[in-house]
Amino acid sequence: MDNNVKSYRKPYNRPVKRTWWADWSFYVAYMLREGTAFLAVFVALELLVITALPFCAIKGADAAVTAVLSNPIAFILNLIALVAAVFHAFTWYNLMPKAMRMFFTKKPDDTRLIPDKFYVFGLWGATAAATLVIILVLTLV
Amino acid sequence: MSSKIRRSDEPVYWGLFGAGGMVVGMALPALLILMLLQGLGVNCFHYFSLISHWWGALAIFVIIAGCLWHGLHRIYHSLHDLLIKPTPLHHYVLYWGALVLTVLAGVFVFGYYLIINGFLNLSLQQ
Amino acid sequence: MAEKTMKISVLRYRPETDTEPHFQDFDVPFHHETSLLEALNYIKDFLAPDLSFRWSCRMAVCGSCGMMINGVPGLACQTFLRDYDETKTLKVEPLANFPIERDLVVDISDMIEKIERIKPYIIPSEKDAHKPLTESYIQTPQQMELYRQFAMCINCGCCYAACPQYKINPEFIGPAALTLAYRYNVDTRDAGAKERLAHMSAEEGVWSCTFVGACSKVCPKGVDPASAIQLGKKQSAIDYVIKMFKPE
Repeated sequence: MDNNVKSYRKPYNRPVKRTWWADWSFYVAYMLREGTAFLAVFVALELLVITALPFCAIKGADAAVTAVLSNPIAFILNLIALVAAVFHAFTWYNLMPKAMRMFFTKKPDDTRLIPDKFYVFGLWGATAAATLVIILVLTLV
Repeated sequence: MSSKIRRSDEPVYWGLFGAGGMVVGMALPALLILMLLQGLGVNCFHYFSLISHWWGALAIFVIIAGCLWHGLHRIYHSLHDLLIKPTPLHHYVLYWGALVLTVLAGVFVFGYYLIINGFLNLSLQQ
Repeated sequence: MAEKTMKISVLRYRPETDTEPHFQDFDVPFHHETSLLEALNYIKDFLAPDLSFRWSCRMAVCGSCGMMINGVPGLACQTFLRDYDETKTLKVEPLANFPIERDLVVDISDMIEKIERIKPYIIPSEKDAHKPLTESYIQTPQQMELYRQFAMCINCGCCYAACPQYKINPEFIGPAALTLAYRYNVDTRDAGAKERLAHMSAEEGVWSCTFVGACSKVCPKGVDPASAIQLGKKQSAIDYVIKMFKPE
């Protein structure tokens, strides 16, 4: 090889922008999905505060709970949290089947994988049942 | 070579994150619907009646813990997405936070259950 | 059919003269069957003979012509101008997350190193190590289906260009390599899962993935790397529990 050939090689690394996700709607949806985490933590803290009410010097914990829940800020945050929880469920159930790879039968020549929609329908069915049970139990208990 | 590669402890947090994600999807919509209705004046969110049963207390504890471990794990990874380099400090704050809040939830939820059923001889400010 | 014209804006970088890349616009005539690769060849033939880009097979087999098309990674040969709005400029850039060598040519050696690292070949068990070449492995259709979809990778680099985790942390082993790791781990002829799991279970292995899913969205061969990585997480987590009770 001729070592006198001059190399102009100068690889260019493009900088990473903090707003990398804004360029493609797919990434924006991902960031929204991750953002639902803040609402989940908010609901946890809210339930923690509600549970702590009878331990504080507040008379009538049930009335205090209603007072907390009818506070306009808490109400709006709960409304956002509901939308976030449903959006989370939608994304979570769509991705869940990707962690599954199972066949219909164990027969050596059966190459039919259980399709994603089976899992998705199953998960939504379970959610509908859980929703019904929770509403009935909490209303009637 | 392969013995030098450090194994990640992520499976522990990933497992809790996954279980929590399931809880958020399955239980939060119903819970939030009732909380919103209660806020509007409909008397349907009988929270303290629920946690005066052991199964109700357990369910609420699982829901609170699930939301915490799911949410805080996701927030930890979101730091990276926002180009904030996650440090051990971030890890301590978020995961110890999740643990402390989980213990606190356990104390309050099961404490209420035990006291209201007379297993603990304490009185609540009712 | 009447020919239409589309404005194509190409990110150019000539290391001998440029300090950083810049866009250059070209007006390219096109008809219903014109692919982006043909459009680039038109530019090279008639407008800018010094334009550099990689291509070979023209049929989504070789994996050479991966590039960012309106910000989304894809193969130029598989992209048709008819699918884009001709009243708008089509933006073409080299694959993201890789260093630019020249114009649309990037250096993918980091991805290649990672693919090599996870040993993407069958490592036979001790018993099979000296199997005579006249004997074959028996594999049922179901056993093949376990990995078939993950074996379609052509190493084009689109998944690395789509992955924000690789963008932010270049240590991440990345979609294509982790997909191949899973593909060989579940192959019944292979006994090398232990060696691969060491890489998969590290921080920069499967655990750097946050399941964005962009890799699967852009893969020109319909491979689902996001799925392979989740399945890899399951393998790694099961291995973690086993090692807890039975340390080596």
